[in-house]
Amino acid sequence: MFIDVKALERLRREARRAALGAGLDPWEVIFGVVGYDDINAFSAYDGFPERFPHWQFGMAYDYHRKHSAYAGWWTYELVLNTRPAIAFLRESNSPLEHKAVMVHVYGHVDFFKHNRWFSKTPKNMIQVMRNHAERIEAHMDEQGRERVEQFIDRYLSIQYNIDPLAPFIKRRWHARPAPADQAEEEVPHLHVKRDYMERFVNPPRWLESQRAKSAARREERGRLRDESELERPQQDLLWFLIQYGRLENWQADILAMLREESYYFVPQIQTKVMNEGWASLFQAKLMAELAGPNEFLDHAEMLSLVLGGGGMNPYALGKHIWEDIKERWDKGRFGRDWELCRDREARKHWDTHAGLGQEKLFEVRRNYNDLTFISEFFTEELFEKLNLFAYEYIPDTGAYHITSRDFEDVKRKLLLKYTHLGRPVIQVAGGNYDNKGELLLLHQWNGIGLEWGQTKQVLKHIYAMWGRPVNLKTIIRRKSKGPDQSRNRIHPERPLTAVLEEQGVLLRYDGERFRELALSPEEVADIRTDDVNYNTIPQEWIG
Amino acid sequence: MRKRIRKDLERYKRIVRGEIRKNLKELIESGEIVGQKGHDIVKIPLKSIRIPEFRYGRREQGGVGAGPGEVGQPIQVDKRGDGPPRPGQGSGGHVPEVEIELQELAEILGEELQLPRIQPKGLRRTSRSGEEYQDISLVGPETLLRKRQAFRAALLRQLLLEEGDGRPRGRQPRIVSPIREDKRYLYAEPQSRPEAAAVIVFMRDASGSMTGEKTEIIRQENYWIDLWLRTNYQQLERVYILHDYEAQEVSEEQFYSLSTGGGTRISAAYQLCDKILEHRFPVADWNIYPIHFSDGENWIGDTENNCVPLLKENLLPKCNIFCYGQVTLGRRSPGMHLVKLQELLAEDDRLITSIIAEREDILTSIKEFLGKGR
Repeated sequence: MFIDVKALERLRREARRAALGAGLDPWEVIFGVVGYDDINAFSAYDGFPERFPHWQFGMAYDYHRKHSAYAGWWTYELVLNTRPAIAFLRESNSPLEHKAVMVHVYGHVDFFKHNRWFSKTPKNMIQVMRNHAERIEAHMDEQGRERVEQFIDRYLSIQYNIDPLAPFIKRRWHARPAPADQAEEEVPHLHVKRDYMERFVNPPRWLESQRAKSAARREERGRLRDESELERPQQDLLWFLIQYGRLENWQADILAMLREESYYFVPQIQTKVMNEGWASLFQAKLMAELAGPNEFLDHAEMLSLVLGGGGMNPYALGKHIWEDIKERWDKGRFGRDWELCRDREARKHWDTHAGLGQEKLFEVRRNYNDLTFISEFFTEELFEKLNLFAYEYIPDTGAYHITSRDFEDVKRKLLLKYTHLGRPVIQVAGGNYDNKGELLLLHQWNGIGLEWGQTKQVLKHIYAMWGRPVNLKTIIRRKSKGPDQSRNRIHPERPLTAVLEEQGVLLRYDGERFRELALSPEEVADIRTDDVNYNTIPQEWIG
Repeated sequence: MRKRIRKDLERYKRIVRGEIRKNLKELIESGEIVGQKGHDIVKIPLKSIRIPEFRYGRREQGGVGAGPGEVGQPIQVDKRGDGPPRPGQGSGGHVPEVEIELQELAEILGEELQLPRIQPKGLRRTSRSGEEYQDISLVGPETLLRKRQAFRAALLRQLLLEEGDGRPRGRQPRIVSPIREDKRYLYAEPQSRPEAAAVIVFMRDASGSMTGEKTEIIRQENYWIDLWLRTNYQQLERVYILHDYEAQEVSEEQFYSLSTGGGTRISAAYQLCDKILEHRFPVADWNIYPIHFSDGENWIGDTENNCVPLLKENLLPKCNIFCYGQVTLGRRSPGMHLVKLQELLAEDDRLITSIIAEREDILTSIKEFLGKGR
C-alpha cells in the first residue's frame, strides 16, 4: 500500500508542536505505519515486535483478529515505553485519526518520561524481550517445546506475585557487599601520639585476633540474613522460588527473565487510569485546535467512542478526574477553607481565581499512581456527577444488586480495584514450614476471599516449582444461617442474604491431593488486615 | 514477528482443539453452544484453557458501576473485562470463552465421532454470483464504475445530440458530463455450476407430553446434525414440521416453542413431509434428510397401517437417510412406534432409529444418525 510519508511527517510535526506548546515534554517518538493484521499481532504481544513463544499470545492474537474482522473493533493506539518511544499507526487511519492518535501518543510518552513510577523501568525493553524470546527458544530446542511451555504456564499463574513496590525499596541484599570485594573493616584501635608506641598500645597480635573476630561476625551476620530471608514474610514469590525453589537451571533462567518482564509491566498497570486519562485530556484539548472545521465533528465522535460506555471506563474516569483537578486548582478549590466549607451553594460558586490548574496537573502527573490519584482526587462532587454506585453479588437471589450510593462506600470499592494491582496480597511466610521444608503462603485477608478453584490450580503450579508441599493460610466465609424471608413483608424489594461466618483455613497441596485444615481465630490473627471494610451489603439485608 | 505469532496461534489452536475434543461430550450435554446467535463463530466456555491466578472471588469482590437505579435493584454486570489477556486487565474469575469458527467445530465433531464424510448422491445446478467480473452492466455499485467507458458513452451521447441540433461547436473545449444512463459498471455474470444441495426436514411431535427438557434435547440434536450437514453441503435448506393429530409447516422459532394438547398421529407428519418433498425438493437435485422426534406414542394402528407403507413406498426411496429419535426421559424401553418401525422395516438401512433417554445419550445418538456417511 502507498503511504504518503511526507504528509504523515507533516502531521507528526504539527502534532508534536502542539504537544510541546501545551507543556508536554515527551521523548522523541518513532511512528510506524502497519497493516491491520500486524496491529493485531503487536497488540497480542503488548506492543512488542517479539515475545517469548507461548500459546497465550496466539490466543490474544486470535481474539484481536476475530474482533477486528467481525465486529469492526480496532486497537486505538499502541505505544511502547522505550527510548525513543515507539508507536504504531493503523495504515487505514484517516489523516484526522492519524493526527489524533499522534497527539494521544505524545501524551502517553510524556507520562512515561515524567511519572515517577516509570522511573525504574528499563528503556530498552524491545531488545530485552527479543533476547528473552531467543533464549527461551534455545531452551525449547533443548528441553522440548511442550515442556518449556508448560513451565511458562506455571510462571504465568504467578506472574504478578511480585512486589509492585520493590523497585523503589532499598533491599538488604542490595546493600550487602559481594564477598569478593568485601572491604576489610578497620578494627578499632587506640589513638597513639608517638609512632614507636603503636605496637605496645595496639599489639599486632591483638589486632589480628580482633580482625578474625569481626570477619567471623560478618560471616555469621550474612548467614543470619540468608536464613531470615527464609523466615520473614515477603511479597516477591517469584524471587523466592528462583532463590530457593527446586528448579533446574533452565527453569531458574526462564523464571528470572520473565520476572523481569513482570516488573516491566507493573507501572503500566499501576497508572492505567491516569495515563489514559492524561493522554485523552491532551488529545481532546489539542485536537480542538488541530482539527479542521470539517474534522471537528468526526473527532468528537471518535473521542466519544473511546470515552463512551459510562463512568467506569478507565479512559473516561481518568479524564474526568484530570479535568476536575484542573478546574479545582484554577478556581482555588483546595486547602483548608475549601475542606471546611460545608455550604453547598458557596462551594458551587467558589472561585478565587487561583489559576494553579496547569501547574497542579503537571505536579500530579509526576508523583501519583492510580491508587493515590483516585484516593486523593476522586471527590464527592465528581462521584455525584458520574452517578456511580457499588454493587455486590447476593447468593440468595443469584444476582448482582446495587448495594450503595454512598460516596465513601463507592470510593473504597473503587480503590480496591487499584490496590496491589487489583489482586489479593499473597506473601511468602517461609520455606521451612513445620520444619519440613514446606512452603507457607499467607493470604493477607482484607475481607474478600480467594477464587477457590483457581487458587487450588495455582498451588499445584507452585508445588511443581517448589518441589515440596505447599500451604496457604487464608480465611473463607461460610453461610451460617439462611435469611429470614418473613422479615421482608414491609420491603419485598429488599434482597435478603444469609449470615456469614469466617473460618481460617490452611489449604495444603502435597503433590497428590488437597487438604483443608480448619484454623482457630488466633491462628489466623496474623493474616487479618480487614481494617478497611470493602463489603457494601447493607446490614439490614443480612439474616 | 509474523512467523512468531503464527506459531503461537497454531499452538493455541492445537490446544483448543484438544480441549474441545476432550470436553465434547460435556459440551454437547450442557447445551452451551446451541442457541447462540451468529453464524460464523461460536463461543465455547473452556475452563481448562485459563491460566489460574490468585484472584479475589468474583462474587465476593463486587464492583462499581455507573448509571441510574435504586439501592437494592438487581443489575446486569457486563463481562466486557473478558477480553484478551493483557497486563492490567484482569479477567476476574469468569470462565474464559474460546471463540471458534463453526467450520472448525464441525471438523472437531467429525473427528471425535469419527463421522465419515458424506457422499452426496446428486448434484444440483445452482446459480450464484460469479467471482470474475467479465461483463459490463448499466447498474452497479460505484466502486465498480468504469470511468473511461462512462465518459466515452457520455461523449457519444453528446455528439449524437449535437448532430441532431445541427449546430457546430467550433474549437471550444467540450465538457463531457456523464449522466446516469452513461455509467457502466463491471458485472460478474451469475454462473451456474453443480453444487451438492441438501434439505433437512425436521419433524417433531408437539403433543402435550413433549415439552421442556424433551424439546431441549431435540434442539441439541438438531443443532449438531444441522451443523454437520451444513459443512458437508454447499447449500442447505430446512423445513420444519410440527404435528399432533394434524401436521403443519412452521418456522424454526415456532418449531421449538409451540406445543399443542391433541393426540398423536405420526403419519400426518410423514404425509406432509412427502408432499413438501414432492413439490419443492425433487429427488434428482436434493439430498434429503428427514429427522423425526417423538416420544414413541402414536395413534393405535397408525404406525403399521399408515406410516410404514408410506415410508416404504414413498419416503425412504427419496431419502439419504431417515432418522427417527425417540425421546423418552428416563425410560429406555422403546415405544410402540419404534418397535413397529424396527419390526417392519428392519431390512431397510436408510431408516436409522435411536433412543434418547437422557442428555448423556445425545452424543451417541448423533453418531448413530450420522455414522453412515450418507
